Amino acid sequence: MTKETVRASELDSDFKFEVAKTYEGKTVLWCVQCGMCTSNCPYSDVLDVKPHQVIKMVLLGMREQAISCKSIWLCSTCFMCAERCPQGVELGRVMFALKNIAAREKGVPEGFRLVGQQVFQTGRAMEITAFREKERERLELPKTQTDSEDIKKLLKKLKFDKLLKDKGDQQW
Amino acid sequence: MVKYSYFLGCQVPARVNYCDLATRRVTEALGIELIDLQGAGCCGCYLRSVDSRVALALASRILALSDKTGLDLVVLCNSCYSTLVETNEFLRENPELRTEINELLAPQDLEYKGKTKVKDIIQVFYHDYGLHKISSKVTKSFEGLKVAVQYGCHLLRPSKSTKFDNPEAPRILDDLVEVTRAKSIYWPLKLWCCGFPTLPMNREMGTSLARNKLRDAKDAGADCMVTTCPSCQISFDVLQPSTAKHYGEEYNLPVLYYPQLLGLAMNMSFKEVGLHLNRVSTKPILRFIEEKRIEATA
Repeated sequence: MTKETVRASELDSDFKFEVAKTYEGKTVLWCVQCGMCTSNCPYSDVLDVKPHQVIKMVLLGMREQAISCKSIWLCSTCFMCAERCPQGVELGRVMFALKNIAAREKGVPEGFRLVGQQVFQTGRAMEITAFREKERERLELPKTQTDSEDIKKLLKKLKFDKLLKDKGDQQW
Repeated sequence: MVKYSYFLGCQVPARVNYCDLATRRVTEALGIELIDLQGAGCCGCYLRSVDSRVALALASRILALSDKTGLDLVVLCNSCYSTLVETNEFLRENPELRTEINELLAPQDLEYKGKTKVKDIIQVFYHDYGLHKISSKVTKSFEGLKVAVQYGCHLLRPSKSTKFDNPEAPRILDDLVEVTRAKSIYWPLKLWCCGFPTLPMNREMGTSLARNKLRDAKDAGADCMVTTCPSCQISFDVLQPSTAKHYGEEYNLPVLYYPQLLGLAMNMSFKEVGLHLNRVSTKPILRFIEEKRIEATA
């Protein structure tokens, strides 16, 4: 973690409640900073901000730092942290809560934006190419059928297209 | 005949059709009927990072489509499994979310009723059909074959929601592999992530996890890996050559999707279960079978 002075006056002490109010982040307050999550994270050797430090940022009210750190987006969502947490903090889910806030305020990283656009356009997270369609035919597998227009309507109602467009990914 | 709704997810038809092929052939042979769920799209698992409610809406839409069929929903993908199971949990625990979701779905003549039970294909084999009955269908022995069993994350964890097996010492897939008389070997990284979900954000980091596991499985003496998740299958099979090239290493580790192994053990042909379509050559498995046959006749 980078060394910087954090001034108490700049902390947002309500941030932890903002996270705990979401259904994904409801367990964040139970953390006792034991470090079990970091011990079990497959990326703990390469992340500059470790999982338990992300949680500490939330608990301290370091809102800006928590939603700007890249670690939240690099999480592989393997849930090893949550599984082994002795306090029952659903860490993987807390990460989703933080990413949701970051997406709204800082923009959506390119990799996720591309997947998002794919779902918005086709209803599926990954394109079925003509090659794969042909392969299915050859193997006598049924054609896939997706209500892509209905899915698009649903996503539009949730303003998902706007969320993807609003901010670029320059932040990430 | 036992019937289920069948949801393929995004990855299978886009990258690993052989998972679908093997599943259909094996279930047909076992007398399990899979009826394709029409109209379903993405389960929302990737979009959950961007907006959890969007993921919830997409998953509920699939569950609402499935509710109409009145059948249990079978999935192949671990991420579809956990996303759908967790959605059932979230909507059960938060009635106001459920109302919100149903208002969204109403114009499409859909209602989330929360009736659908989501099952991974592995649970269908193990619990519904039954391990014992599966073993009675096995006619070919893989005795001597050393298998690195790969569960993938989202069946095991978060275990409070997925309720799949003991998350620290799972047995379901091990037992299903061992009914073929193959041996599930100990490999230290067995329960770890394949790195697939990190790929869109950071290819290098995602690949590093797959590499660690491939080396670990090889070091432990595995003849092949057997997975139950299409995303793991992509990480270890489809992307194995590019991972090997990137690190200047060679693994040549065949990676089988579980129904492929089961199909072979039920005396299906290589092509029937799509083993000619795996990216990494599965010929070592074919050689293994042929050598066995020679032994058996000698």
